[in-house]
Amino acid sequence: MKSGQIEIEVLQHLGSKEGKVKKILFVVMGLVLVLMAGCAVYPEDPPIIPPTPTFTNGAIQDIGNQPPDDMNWISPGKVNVANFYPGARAEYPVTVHNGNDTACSFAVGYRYPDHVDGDFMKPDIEVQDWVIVADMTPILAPKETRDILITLEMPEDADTFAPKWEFWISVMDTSQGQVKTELCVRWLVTMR
Amino acid sequence: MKKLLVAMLLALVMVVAFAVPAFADPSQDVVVTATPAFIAISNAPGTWAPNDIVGDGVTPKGTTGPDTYYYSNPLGDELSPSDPVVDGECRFTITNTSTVATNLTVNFPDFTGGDASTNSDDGSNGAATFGAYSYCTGMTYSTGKVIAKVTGSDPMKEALAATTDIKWGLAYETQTGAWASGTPMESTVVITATIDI
Repeated sequence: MKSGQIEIEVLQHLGSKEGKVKKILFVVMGLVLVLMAGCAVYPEDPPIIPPTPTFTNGAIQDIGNQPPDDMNWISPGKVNVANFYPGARAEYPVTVHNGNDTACSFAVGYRYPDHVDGDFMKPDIEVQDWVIVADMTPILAPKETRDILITLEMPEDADTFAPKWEFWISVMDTSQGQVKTELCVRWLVTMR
Repeated sequence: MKKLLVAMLLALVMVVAFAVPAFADPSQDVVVTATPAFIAISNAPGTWAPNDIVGDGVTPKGTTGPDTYYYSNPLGDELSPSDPVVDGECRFTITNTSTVATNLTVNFPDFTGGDASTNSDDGSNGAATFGAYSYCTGMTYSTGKVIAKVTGSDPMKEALAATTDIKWGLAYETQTGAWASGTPMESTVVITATIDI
C-alpha cells in the first residue's frame, strides 16, 4: 500500500507538466511510425509459399462431341495462366490419346512457339527450364488415353521479361514417317 | 489526456496498416483455366520423294537435279500449282476432327545424309542451301505460299474450321551447287496444329 501511495504522488507531480509530456509522446510515436514503416512488407517481395492453382475448367468434360477413338488427339487446346509472378507455380495436365492399333511412343515437351497471339511475346530462352513434363516419352497402349502433368515453375529471382508471354507443349507420335504431325497446347501466361 | 489517447490510437492503427502484409501486398492466387476442346489431326501420305511421278514428262525419274524446283503436285513434279490452288495439286490430306478452329504450320528441317543441304529459311536456294514453301488448297499460290523454315514458320493455314479436312503440298528448290556425295538425303517435315485464338 505504501508503494501505491508513492505512485499516485508521482503521477500528480507529472500532471502539472502535461504539456511537456504530450510533446515527448508525439515525438516518440513519430519515431515509432518511421521505424515500423521501414519494416513493412511491400509487393516487390513475393510470398515464399506459392499459391494453389485454381482449376476452373475440365479439359474435355464439357465437349459436346466426343474425341475420336481411332485418331491421336490432345486436350486442352490452350491453357491460360493469370496472376503469375516469380516464385509462382502453375500446373495443368495434357491429355494424350493414342489412336493407333499398336502401342506407340510419344514425345512430350516444351516447344518454342512458331507464332504468338496478339499482345503475347515469345518466351525468353530460360523458360524451357521452368517447364517440367511429368513423362516426356510415354508409351501408350492402343487406344489408351493418359494425362501427363505439365508444371510451370518460375524461379523467385527470374526476371519478368514480358507482361504476357506464350509457350507451347508439343506432343508428337514418334512412329510417323517423313511427314509428321505435331499437336501443341498453347500456354498463355499473364503476369500480375 | 483525451487528445493524447486519440493520437496514440491513430498512430497504432497506422502502424498496423503498414506492418500487416494483407494491406501491403495485394497478391492473388495464380489462376489456371483451360479451354474444353481437343486437337486432332492426321496426315496422309506420310512420305514424299521429289520427282517420283512417272509419266509427267520429267526425266529421268527417282533422282533430283541441282537448282530445280520440285512440287508435291500429283499433276507433275515440276508443275507449279495454279492460282488458286485446287485439291488435285496437293499430295497431302489432313484429316481434321478438332472441335475448335486450328492453325497449321509447316516446318522443313535441314537434310541429313548425302550433301546435307540446309534450309535457307527465306525460300531461296544457294550453293549448299535449299528453299522450301508450303501451300494449301484455296490459296493464291503465287503470292500466298508460305516459306517453310527449319522452325518458326508462319501458319500455312489460319483458323481452319473445326472438323474440316484440307489438302496441302510442298515446294522444294534444290541447292544450286552440284551434288557431291551421290547418296540420298532425308528430312522430316513437321506439320503443327494449334488452337486458333
